[in-house]
Amino acid sequence: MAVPPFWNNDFYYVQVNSTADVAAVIAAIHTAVTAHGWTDESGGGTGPWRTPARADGIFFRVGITRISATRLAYVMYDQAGLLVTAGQIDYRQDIEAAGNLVDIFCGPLYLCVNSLRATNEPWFGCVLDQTPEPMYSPRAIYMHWDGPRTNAGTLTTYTWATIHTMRPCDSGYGQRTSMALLRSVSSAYQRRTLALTALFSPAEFIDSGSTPALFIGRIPQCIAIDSTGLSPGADVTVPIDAGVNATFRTIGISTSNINQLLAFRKS
Amino acid sequence: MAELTALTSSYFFKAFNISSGDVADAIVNIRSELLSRNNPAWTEPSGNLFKSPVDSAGRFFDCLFTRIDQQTLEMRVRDQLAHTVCTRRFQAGTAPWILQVFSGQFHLIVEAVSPGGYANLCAGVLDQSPDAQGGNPVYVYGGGWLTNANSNDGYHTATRVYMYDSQGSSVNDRGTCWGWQVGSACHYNMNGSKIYRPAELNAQYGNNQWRVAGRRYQQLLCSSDLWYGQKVTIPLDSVSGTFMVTCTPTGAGSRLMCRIA
Repeated sequence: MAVPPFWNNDFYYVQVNSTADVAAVIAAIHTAVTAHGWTDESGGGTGPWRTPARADGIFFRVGITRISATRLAYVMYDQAGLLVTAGQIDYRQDIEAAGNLVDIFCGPLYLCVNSLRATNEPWFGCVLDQTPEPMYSPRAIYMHWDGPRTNAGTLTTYTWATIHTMRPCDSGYGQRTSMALLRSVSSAYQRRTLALTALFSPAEFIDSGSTPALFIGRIPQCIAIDSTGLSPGADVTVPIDAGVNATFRTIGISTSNINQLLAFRKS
Repeated sequence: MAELTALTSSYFFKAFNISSGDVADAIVNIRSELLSRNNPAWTEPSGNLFKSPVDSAGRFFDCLFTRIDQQTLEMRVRDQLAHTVCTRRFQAGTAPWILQVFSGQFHLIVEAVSPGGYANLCAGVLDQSPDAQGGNPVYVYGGGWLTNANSNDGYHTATRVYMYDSQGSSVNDRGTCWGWQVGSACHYNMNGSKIYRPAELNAQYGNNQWRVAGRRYQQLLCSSDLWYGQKVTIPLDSVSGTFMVTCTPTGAGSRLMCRIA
């Protein structure tokens, strides 16, 4: 076989030097995404930015606004112009007044921006990969994580299982909980072998509200890995095919009741 | 990538008509299946005690079958260290019934199918990859419908089996749940296509502290709306495999399938 499609598309990682003004973060995001096929619809580096269209025409837009020197606001629209960030209208992300590093991970249909404060503040959105099903059927699933801050500036503290999306049975976008495919056996389990080898898997999501539960896809270039002994920002190198290794960087996001971290592709 | 290691071991399936309705005939047929048809072959160190082929890592398990009465068959499962993993039974009807034997180097499932119902016994060694096989001694599992007092205690499902781990021999919901939470599973995608999952088991490294022990060889989990005996052919890699839904009761939203071709 080959590298699975959700780990086999274009990816890019860059770290923004410590900055005390989020304008530098916006500029870095602009540089990163436009170098990888996204379009700056303003033409002036202020967005919104539109992803390249998939073979079936699917794309999304992200708008990023500087609220203050230390605060960003994110909105995400699907191909039809519907607000994926419905409910909160926008989601906020802070940096330290004294500045901090920011990690940016992006590809054709995903974007993750992680403010590396002591408590990480990641924002990510994507179109989920549904292979081997046809891309267009029954429809694309757009999602973004329900954080890191509400538009009132409050940390959400959700696990990565709480996202905004439109499930197969939904008529609109909204907050959906219990969406992660966890591979659990107990609340006190580790996704590692008895010999302590950490196991990893695609970062997969399901519609747990339907009967039967339906698989809705995976975040591109992302894995879920056992969190034991791993700190946010740790790099993990895993085999994604025979003889093919890839390095992913963990992002700090609440792992309560999950015991797994998300990690985005770095190299 | 390659075919899942747990799906690369030997496998055999055969159904026998137990016209006498006596489990003694079941033992005869289990013997012929394990000693004569399996390759690599099992051995019978003593009467009705069947030992699986020892692999290059020294792994094996053994099963002692005992005829309790005409309709009651007992199986004791031991690991490679001679720990008793479990002693379980099934009761078939007194009228003629069908014996189904799923077997291989690392697995054995014995089923009784009769007009009155279903019952089975199971045992096996787990695929411990990506760790070295045998690198950890906890890899034998076992189970069956009834206690050794013929009581149906419910301790037998697709995800609930016995293992001898850090807590000694115990039955638990050891199967990895392929859903949002314990007890749930996701076996369909949005288009209605079925998704099959590895039959992965976990073991305790401390009291109620769990880690992955491995995967049952030549077995997969499927949606609970597939019925006992249903056969499905699915792509495994560059090859396909045909699996039959065993009559193991549903566990955590999943049923257990075993390879037959």
